[in-house]
Amino acid sequence: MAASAPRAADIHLLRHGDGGSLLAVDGSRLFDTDPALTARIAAALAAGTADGLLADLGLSMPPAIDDRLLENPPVRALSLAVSQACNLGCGYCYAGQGSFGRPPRTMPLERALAAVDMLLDGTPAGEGCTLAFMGGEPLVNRPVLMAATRRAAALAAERGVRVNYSITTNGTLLTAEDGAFFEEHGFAVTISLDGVGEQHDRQRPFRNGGGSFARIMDNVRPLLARQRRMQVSARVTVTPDSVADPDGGPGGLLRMLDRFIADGFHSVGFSPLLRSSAGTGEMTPDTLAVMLGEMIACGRMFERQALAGRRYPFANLLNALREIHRGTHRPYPCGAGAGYFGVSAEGDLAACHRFVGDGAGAMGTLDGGLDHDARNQWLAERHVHRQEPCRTCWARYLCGGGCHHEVIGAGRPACDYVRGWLHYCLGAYTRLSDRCAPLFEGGPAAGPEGR
Amino acid sequence: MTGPKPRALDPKNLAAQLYHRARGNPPNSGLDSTIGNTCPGLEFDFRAAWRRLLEGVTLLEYDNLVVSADSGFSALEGCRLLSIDGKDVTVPVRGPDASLTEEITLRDNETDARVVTMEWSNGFAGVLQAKQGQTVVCEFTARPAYNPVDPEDYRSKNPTVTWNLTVRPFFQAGTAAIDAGTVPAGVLTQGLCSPWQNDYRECVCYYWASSRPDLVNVTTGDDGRVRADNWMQRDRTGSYVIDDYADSRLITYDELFQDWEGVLHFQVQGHDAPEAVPLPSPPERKP
Repeated sequence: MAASAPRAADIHLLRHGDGGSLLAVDGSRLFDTDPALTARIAAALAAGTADGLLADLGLSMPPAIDDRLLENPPVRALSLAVSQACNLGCGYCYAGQGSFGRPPRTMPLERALAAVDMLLDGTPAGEGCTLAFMGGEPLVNRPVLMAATRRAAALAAERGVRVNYSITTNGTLLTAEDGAFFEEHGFAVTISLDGVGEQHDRQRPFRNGGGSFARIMDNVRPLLARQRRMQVSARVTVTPDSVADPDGGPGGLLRMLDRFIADGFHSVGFSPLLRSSAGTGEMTPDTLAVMLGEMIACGRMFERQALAGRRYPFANLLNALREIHRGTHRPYPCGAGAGYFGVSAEGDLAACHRFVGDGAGAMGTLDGGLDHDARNQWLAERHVHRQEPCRTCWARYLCGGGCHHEVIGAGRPACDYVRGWLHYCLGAYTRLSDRCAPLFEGGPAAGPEGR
Repeated sequence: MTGPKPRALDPKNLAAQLYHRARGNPPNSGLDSTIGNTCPGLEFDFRAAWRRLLEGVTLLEYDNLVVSADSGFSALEGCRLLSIDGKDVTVPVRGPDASLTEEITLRDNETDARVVTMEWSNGFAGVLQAKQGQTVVCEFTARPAYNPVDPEDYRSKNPTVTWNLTVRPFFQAGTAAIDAGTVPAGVLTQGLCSPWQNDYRECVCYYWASSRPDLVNVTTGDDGRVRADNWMQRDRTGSYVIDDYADSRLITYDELFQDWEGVLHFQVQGHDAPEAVPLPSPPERKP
């Protein structure tokens, strides 16, 4: 992590061999540097005199991200909490076992349809939008999920709008018929899998304590075989238990990645648990350091496979490489509260699916419309230029300041991990970009939150 | 065999390539820093980038007229592109009538046309997004049409023809460099204004405002009234001369062509008289 530590706000240097790579933070521009220039930059960073370096190198430009605040951007994605109830009892769930701390309930049909109408009414012909289903476990309320999808598809066809559909599910209620429906509409299906076998079962048990892994995999296999338009991905929430697995030892994430890729998942991604509803199971600086090593081991495998011309869909690295290739630079970590909102079962609008039922992200109601003042205040306060210590961090426009829900609830305990990971990804890009360019074509696999 | 000498600083990702200013290029060579980059511009005319986007034909940079065609496509020369991939490339223009009281569909005074060709970046937006490298259905007038035509009106009275033309890639694969087949060298600067010559003399002030105000030597009297000169006046009088190329108080075309450095009083460090401030010279050219 030492190499990725913040030394200057406007540049970051990677060393490889005698040469290096320079990240000009503004605009996320990446340059290879020859040995002499690399040494000059390194010396300036060590002496704390890197401030004028970009101008000296002819790389200064008008700010790509300035302090102007985004105001009233169009709504392009909604996540419907069609079910604020869940049949699993995961201890870390941000949604408090699906109910967001309140009695379990489901979204009535007319409310789901009203949300669909709101989304489609605001999307002009020729443009696209995203309709996501989360929970709780959304398949608890399957009829409403299907009706809302059909409504969106009908309106989209009538109006010449593209709709991307996505669902995040625990997989325990999936049926082959669901697979046919998701395939018909080209869903991005994300299955929450936190390990293989018992490791998953420890984190994601049924409410009676029984394991869920075997049933999920039985349910998912027909979908994996069927995916054409549909894409079925695995998302792994990493807890201290995942990276300190007494049975697996080091390399646990790589074994998990290999297993799920071999199973046929379209992609596999890992995400550290930084904020849990019960405050337990969260990653610590020590366990995040272990996780970083495991992530880099996964990345090294990706690099070997990519150079051999083999598909190896490690989502974290693939998405990072695509964003680095384009030079994505963002003043926010995601579209939450900007173009993306969560809708609760009662019809309340929230900054994203995680803020359902949380006053910190309240954004109005379906009936009353968006609360523009709350939204603009959110966008003003959440801009990365207003965040500390982000303002002086080289990774700020790649990271955007971190998940709002995690930061508001738990601060920023993962900055070293994020910088370490991005430092590795930048290096991987410089190693792969000349020989694996087709990998970087196409945008990042976007979730409903616009990442 | 040795390759080219590696550069000290090599732009790697697309953002670095897009914003990078090559050694020797001035600061105003970038899209975000040019004085006027279209219509046409001083540094380059970006509209020309779209002229050869469709394989086989060359379009006017501002109009849907096919000005030349490759072998095998010669039947299209002089014809007009009406639609591409099912979308018209012209639009009716709505605006106020002469009395400024009513919104109407405007007509071109010379041709009576009621449509204009969209800027190609808009007209080609759909195929640029989804059809690069693919063939698309292009609808043309069946016969040459040198004046603009309203597609709907034209179709009701005349035959049209459709061709499947290939959309050239705009960028070289995997880079932010414009494809040389789509925009050959020299095309972006081919139709530039000639600064200090006719174009500079003739264009109206709002177009050149960033580099050439037409009201200069402005002073405000005690009564609040402004005294100023036309920028083309020979002498500083404080009395504005209305633009008229035949007025001998104004600099003529010939004078501009032959001695623009002498007759135009450039402002240097707040002064317009050359004798007031010695013009700075690059160090290496000092005697």
